[in-house]
Amino acid sequence: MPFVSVTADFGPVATAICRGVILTIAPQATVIDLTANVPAFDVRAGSLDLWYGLRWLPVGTHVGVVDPGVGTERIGVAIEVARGDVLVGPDNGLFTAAAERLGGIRRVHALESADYRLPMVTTTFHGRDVFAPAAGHLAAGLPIEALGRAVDPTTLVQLPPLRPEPAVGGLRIEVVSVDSFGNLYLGGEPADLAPVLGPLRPGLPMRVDDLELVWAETFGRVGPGEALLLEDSDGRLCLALNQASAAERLGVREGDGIVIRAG
Amino acid sequence: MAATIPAMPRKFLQPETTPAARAADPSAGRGRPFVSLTTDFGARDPSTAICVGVIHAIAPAATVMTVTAEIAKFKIRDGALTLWSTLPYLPVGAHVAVVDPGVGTERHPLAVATARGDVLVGPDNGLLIPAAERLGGITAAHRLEAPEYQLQVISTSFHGRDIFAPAAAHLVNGVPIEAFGPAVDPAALVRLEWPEARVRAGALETAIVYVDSFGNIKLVGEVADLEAALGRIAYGDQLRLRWSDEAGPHEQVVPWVQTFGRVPKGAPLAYEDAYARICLAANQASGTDVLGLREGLTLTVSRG
Repeated sequence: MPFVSVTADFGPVATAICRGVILTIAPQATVIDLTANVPAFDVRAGSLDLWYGLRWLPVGTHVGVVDPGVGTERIGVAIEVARGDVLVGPDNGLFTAAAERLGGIRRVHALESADYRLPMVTTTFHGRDVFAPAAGHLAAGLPIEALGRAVDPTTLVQLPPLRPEPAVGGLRIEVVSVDSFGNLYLGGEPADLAPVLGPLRPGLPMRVDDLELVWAETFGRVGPGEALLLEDSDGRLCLALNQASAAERLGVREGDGIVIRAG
Repeated sequence: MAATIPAMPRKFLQPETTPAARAADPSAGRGRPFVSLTTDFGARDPSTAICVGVIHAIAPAATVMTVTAEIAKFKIRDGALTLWSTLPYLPVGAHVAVVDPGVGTERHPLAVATARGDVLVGPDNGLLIPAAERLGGITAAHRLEAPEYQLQVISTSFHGRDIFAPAAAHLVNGVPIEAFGPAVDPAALVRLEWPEARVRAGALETAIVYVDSFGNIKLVGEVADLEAALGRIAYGDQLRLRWSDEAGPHEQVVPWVQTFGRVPKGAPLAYEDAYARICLAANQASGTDVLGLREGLTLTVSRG
């Protein structure tokens, strides 16, 4: 059965409209929202949700809409990846990380053909008027090349990767997202820490500002309210408190940098 | 040279879809039994999922979609606007809507059939009417009274589960609308009061009826109304907004543009939204914060 997902920053109603357009074109498809609640206009946060989520969804067509440039010169694209999925949305870097995680880009086509758009394309809702219809047709079996001209994958807008930077006595690393528990996801991998902290082992002490924490396998390995750094379910570095909010404790938000030092 | 935007359709007699889908299947949007749900139950409570479950149990072949569970609580008008903007883009089907502060009182549960072929199911409190008119108009309305299409125990406070969800499921299973209860004269249905856009000499009087999650401000009236007041509007024209609140009178000039990215980040703008409404916003910022506006205020729009 064809599978389509929608990831957007415009809330549940607008994603429901996109799902409706998809189902009208591909009534047999299973259509889900990965999330409708990407922070508004935050292309990087959306790109991370796609990176994190798509890997676990069935092979299919995935619409992504975090699109502050809607209606301007930025083009709409369908990106076919090695796993067999097609990613549909604006050419603004939203799919850079997800496409790489799904095996890399195989080919890209611009969304141009009026046959596969709604009859009236507005200047402010391409999710509904351009991306959802393209996804619906792809899910119904349309070959990607029917959508428009081929685009050289190397010309796509790229989001620069986030790398930790050395800081005095530690490693400066960006908070790339904060989940609803207040867990902080960091722009780096466990391997980045070893040069600063030594080999990671459970109980290894470290600190961020005045917060003492340890490397641990999971939340319940420290006392309630205590802090830990762990490798999350997708290999990301995650700074958390057991049953409390790390974001509140440290007073940080997405986009802030923190410095991890040996404890 | 700016592209010309054709006027938005005001009535949807078919689901809005692509030329290719229409050519392949003129009945596009009628492929599978389809039920949608729009409620103010909230994302925290399982109430909307309970309605989804009741529908699946009665109509296992149906696609069931939650449009949102997050209509502002008790705000019938917000629910009505959401249905108005959403339903033209959904497949033809049964659409349950529950923003129902009068649940369990004398207000009647209803099924309203539209010219497009949908049936809207919910309370007779005005919630369903704007969407029904947009889907071609009301062709029949019936009360939901037949006990064989309701759950066995009807609570006084959760008709979404006990009456509306079962009715929608039976409708997409093929039960005709007249089997649910007596016909109601569509003219006798409860209607909401809406502020109106008024065309004055050189100005449009309008009001803020909705603010979306970005802080984009939806005004009463369509672009055609604005042009009736101001004459033809071109991209780049300046519009003067005047309003008063408890702090006194305010005035702001904003450009009329195609889209957000035509003004600097944080700057305000006016545009035709994706539903042909007049809309105020700021580029990658909240229009309500930048302009100091809020729902309920009335505005006068003239040339700047």
